[in-house]
Amino acid sequence: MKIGLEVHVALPTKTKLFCSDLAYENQEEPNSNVCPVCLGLPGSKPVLNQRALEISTNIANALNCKISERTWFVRKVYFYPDLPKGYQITQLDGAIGTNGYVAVHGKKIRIRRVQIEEDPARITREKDYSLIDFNRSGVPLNEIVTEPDIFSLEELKDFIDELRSILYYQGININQELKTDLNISLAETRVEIKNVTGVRNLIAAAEYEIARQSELIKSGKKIAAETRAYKEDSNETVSSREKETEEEYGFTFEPDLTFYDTTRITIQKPIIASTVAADLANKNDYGEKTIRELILFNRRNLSLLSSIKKEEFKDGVSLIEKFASFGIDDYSEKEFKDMLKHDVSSVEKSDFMFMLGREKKPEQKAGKPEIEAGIKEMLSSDRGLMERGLKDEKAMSFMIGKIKEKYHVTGKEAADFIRKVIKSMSNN
Amino acid sequence: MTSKFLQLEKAEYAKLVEQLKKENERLNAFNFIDETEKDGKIISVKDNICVKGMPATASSRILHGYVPGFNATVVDRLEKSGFSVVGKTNMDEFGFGSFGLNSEHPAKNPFDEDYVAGGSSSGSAVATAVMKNHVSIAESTGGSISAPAAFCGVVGLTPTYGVMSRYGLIDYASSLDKIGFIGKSADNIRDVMEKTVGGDEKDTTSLSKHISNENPRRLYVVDNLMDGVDEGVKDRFEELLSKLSSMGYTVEHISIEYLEYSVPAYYILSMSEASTNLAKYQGFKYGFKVKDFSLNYNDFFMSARKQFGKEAKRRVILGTFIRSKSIKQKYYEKSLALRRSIIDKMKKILENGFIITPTMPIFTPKINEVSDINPVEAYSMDMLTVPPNLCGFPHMSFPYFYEKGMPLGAQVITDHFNDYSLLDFLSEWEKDFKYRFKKEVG
Amino acid sequence: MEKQEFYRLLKVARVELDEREVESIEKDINDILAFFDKLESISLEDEKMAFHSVEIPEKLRSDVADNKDKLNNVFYNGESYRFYFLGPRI
Repeated sequence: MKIGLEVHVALPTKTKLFCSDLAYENQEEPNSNVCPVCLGLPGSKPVLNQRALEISTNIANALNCKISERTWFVRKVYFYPDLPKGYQITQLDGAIGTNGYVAVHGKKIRIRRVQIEEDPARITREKDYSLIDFNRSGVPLNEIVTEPDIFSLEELKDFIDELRSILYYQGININQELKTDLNISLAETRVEIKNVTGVRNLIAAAEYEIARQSELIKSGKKIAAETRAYKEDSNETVSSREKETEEEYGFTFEPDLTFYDTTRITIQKPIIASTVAADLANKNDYGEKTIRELILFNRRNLSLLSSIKKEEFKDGVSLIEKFASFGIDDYSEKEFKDMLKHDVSSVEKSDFMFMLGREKKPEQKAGKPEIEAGIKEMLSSDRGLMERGLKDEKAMSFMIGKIKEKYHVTGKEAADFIRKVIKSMSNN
Repeated sequence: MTSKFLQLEKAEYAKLVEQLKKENERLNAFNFIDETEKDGKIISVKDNICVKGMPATASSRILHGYVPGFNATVVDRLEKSGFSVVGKTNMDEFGFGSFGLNSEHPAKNPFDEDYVAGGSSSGSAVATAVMKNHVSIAESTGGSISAPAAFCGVVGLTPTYGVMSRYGLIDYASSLDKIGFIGKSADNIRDVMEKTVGGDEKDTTSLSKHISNENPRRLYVVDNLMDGVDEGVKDRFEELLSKLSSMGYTVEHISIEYLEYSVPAYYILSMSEASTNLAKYQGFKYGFKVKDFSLNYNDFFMSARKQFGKEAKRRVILGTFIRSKSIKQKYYEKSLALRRSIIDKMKKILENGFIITPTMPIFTPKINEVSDINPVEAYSMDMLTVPPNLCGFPHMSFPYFYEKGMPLGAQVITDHFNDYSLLDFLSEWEKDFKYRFKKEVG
Repeated sequence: MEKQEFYRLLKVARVELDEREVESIEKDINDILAFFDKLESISLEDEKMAFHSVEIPEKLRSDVADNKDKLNNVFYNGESYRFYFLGPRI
């Protein structure tokens, strides 16, 4: 079995790849971050975002690619309503990175190419038309193309984990859904599954496709070389008509742009968290799996665990887990180091918070004026919350509970008091 | 330098519009005349250059109804310098043509309406001929400024590739498109050029380079380029050379290898790029609209793209073919290499003097003489204008003779970024040459 | 060019021709390709490719939001529905 991937990730830039509209998709209305360039209006011209070039160079480096000293762009022509110019500006021969690899448990999965390209618009299918939001049009992407070096589902999962971790340490927003094309061949024939969104769907699509192809082979049937689509609802892949072939894309140099010199770009030494985890495990005689879980997608954990001595390591891991179990996420390295001096293995949250210096002693109950001022401050900044509380008794109880916890007050009297304050506010 | 433009007060503007509309009925110089009252120095703009609030169609039905919400950089710069755009000039659809005939209402020659205006900047040349002290902002990809300038008896200057921002220019072939000028006085053209040249942060390929005016007073005639030129045109051209040598120019005959291959190389590159630039026309965001959104998107696009004229269809189909992966090397990449080779060969010559040629290989033809010629014949008419266009060298067509009342033009070519030498040459020429025009308004 | 290839190209380029156009354009295209084939007679093995005719130095934009060409009305030229552009069925 051979699996190859094309993984698309959005780069963490402020603005789009070729124009100065905001790049992130925000809560604003559709088509609010658009201009002639990303709408593809006749007469507009692209100008490359320097930051996107810098980030891409670092990603290519982190994936052990050869960096093109002179990188350039091509036009890939195809027709779909979400593609405003009728071509996508992307890279091929002059791609920013080529011939790299990702090491997964000692095996190298080769990276054929890392290319910079623009995202098409977001399109929604309706019965008799489509709706298009160009806010996403022109968002900078990297497409990471692997060789067909993945030989099992396990390897696929591990590769994706490793890749996501490397990208996380390059500043990529790890909560974004990866968009992936995967090709799978159990026998000679290559089947491509396009546009799979999210890691879960990627694994499910691969699983389904492996089963499907095995079944065909078992029953002596032929596997068609084709493009398929993954249907999330029914968890299956179905044959889809190929849009364009390599022959038809008709790649040509993008004449509205030029060549870009990457030799002056500062390349940061990449952080490969899985390697760090192995080193820490080795150095501190500690379980690698636990360390991996803590640091693969957590910059602070990586930094904390790398900065403590072997004697403290076990306690350090416990402390990180303790913080997490109490839902405390905003602690500093100093707070961590201070807490490391205490034995917190059997400490309750309130005491833990007290040791952290974040809360008053539990017995120091707050007085009514303090509570009243606190409620007013909280609710005036969130009137929606207040209105929900007035309409819905459940929401009200929840609010009262929260306030009681915060001010360490108990009992019906306190609850009635809080309810009175909230209601009095609604009259203003 | 003394530039002198048609400068109007608001109260005088309506009269100009009136006059132009009348002329336009006869000559089809304009696709759009702006009736909104305005004042300032009057200028016109080719219809493939965006002027905020005015329709921009590039003479294509597929752009009917498109009104850009932004200005081309060249228009922005002109408006800041006190120029006002009177209207958008007629052209071959998207710039595809050498006679101005690939337009719904082809422009006609201001000297005689039975004759072509030349193309693709047909309307810019006609507008310049019929308006006093006029300069029109035109555009050339493979000869679209020189050809109409020659046929209409005006001057056409195509600057070095990149010195004029293309932001706001509706693309034909991005590596070849150059905004330039059609006018009838060296001083006026120089004034407009000085106010519009230079780099633009909105166009990656625009350049901020010093533009020089070196003139070694030597003229080269490229013999292997003269093969297909009409004998009568050759005779007149010989007379021009004698006159120029009497003005102190040394004339030398040379041959430049591969120059006769410029035309196929040019058409290969321009069609390849055009077929990508025209992919954006799909019939729903702007311009021509397909009404039925329930059509499958492929049928929808097909239906919209029926609006392309015949020449546009030809170029899109051929360009798509040439870009195909399996044959890209044979045509497209070879043409890129040929362009490199020709640039180097021409540059060696241009460092020592101008190249001079007739602008067109024929006298101005009648409309009915060229309306049915086949595409290969039509493309061959660009044999003299294509080499400098393919290679981005600045060049200028200027009128030098009137044959049976119709003007005849010659073309001087100089090295990259030596554009102003062409205007110096013209100033010198104008000392002893009188432009003729049939009728001028304003 | 083979007939089949010609029809394939029309699909790829999203160009639809009526019968009369097919006939004349197909012939034109074959004539033009024969004209292009003139290039076969020259050899340019080691020549570099000129993507532009003059050197275009790199021009980069700093990653700063400033919408110089903010459109007053994004939908002015198109059909829209609740801030979305209306497009063909997919």
